[in-house]
Amino acid sequence: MVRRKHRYAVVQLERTSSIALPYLDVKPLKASEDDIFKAVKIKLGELHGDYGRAVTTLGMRVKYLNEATRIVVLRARQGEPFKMMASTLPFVTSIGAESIQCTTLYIAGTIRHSLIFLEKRQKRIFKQVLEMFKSDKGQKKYKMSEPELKERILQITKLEM
Amino acid sequence: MKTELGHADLNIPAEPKKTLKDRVLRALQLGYQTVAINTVVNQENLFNKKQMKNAKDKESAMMSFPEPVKLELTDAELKSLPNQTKKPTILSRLTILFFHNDFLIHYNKSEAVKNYDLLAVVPKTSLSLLNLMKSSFKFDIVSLNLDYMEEFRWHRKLYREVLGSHAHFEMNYAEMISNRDVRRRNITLAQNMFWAGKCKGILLSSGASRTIYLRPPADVANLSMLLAMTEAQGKEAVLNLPTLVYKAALGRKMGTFRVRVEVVNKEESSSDEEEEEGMDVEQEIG
Repeated sequence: MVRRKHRYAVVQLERTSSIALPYLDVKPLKASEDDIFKAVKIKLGELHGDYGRAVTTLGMRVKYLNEATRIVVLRARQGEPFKMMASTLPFVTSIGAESIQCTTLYIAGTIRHSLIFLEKRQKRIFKQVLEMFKSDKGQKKYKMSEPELKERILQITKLEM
Repeated sequence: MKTELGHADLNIPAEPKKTLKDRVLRALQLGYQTVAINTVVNQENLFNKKQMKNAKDKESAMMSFPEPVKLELTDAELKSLPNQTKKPTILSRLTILFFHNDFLIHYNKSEAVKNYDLLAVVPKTSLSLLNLMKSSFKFDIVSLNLDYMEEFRWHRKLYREVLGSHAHFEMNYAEMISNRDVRRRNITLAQNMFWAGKCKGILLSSGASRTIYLRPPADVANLSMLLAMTEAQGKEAVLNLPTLVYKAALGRKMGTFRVRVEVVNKEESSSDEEEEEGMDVEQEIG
């Protein structure tokens, strides 16, 4: 049996209200895998019609979803189904009631490579976030008291605690 | 002289000015290496002294072309960008919406136009574009603006003439995201371009007046599927073609048969006599 090849798109969903703001957006996404799948399918139907919906039905799935980091890994069959799905992603502007923007971070041939990419990316971002917890003199200040830590987190994320 | 632009977005409108810096930073954060700030001038708003008094819309009326908008990024903003090895490039671009060659009178008098890096035109009709190409005026980009070019139809001869004059075409994707009608019209236009010239030489730029309509280069390249282009053409539209456009613009500004000699590396040239001068020859093609 010939192997069925897929392509995995690692996509970040950014809230339009928090794009290009100087603080971190840490609120988790209020959407399930089904909501994301439906939003992409509806847009596919709008752009590519019945043919687009039909071609991508077999094999299109949400394989990974992390609400906290708002990362989704979408799978589709290699070739035309994946091209149709990838060309639809820039036009997905809302999931449920939230207004979002899709950014394709990586396209992998196997789910293993997509997760390897994610791991490297998360480690890099974690280092950048740790930099924000340095004191004004540039010294590492990870061991803070609780009130100090709360204040710093509020500064960086602008959350209301 | 740096001529390799990397991933480029050659149309970030200067208006609205309040959000210009946010849009430029967002584009650079999404992965673009080069960005061009676009100033748009409509021929209908260009008047001489006598006509200015009777102009209906006095706010947008002008007697000459404006100076390019300059934007500088602070060190803190540069540090927030993902690519720390290369400094981003910010170019300036002028787009002229015209219906008749009369705008050349204002263009030839103006000193400000020489300060722009790129020059784009938007013709109202195919006749106006043909007449412009018969004159000695040279430009870099023909921007496909659906609202202004309603009566326009592309034919093979005109398409090839534009490519032959070292200019390229440009389509904007930002409005396609927000407006379904614009999306359909753009796809129809792409089909027309495919019939006329197999979608050769088409750039994809944002034309985004809001930050939320900017997309990373990989996603823009994937729009080739909708716009009757091949996958390779889609990738070229964001990577190779902007570099070609910029090189052609440099040649246009320099004029014909000029040679530029530039010392590439002073340290190497002083130690090695044979390679004393780094020759960086640039001349206008044709």
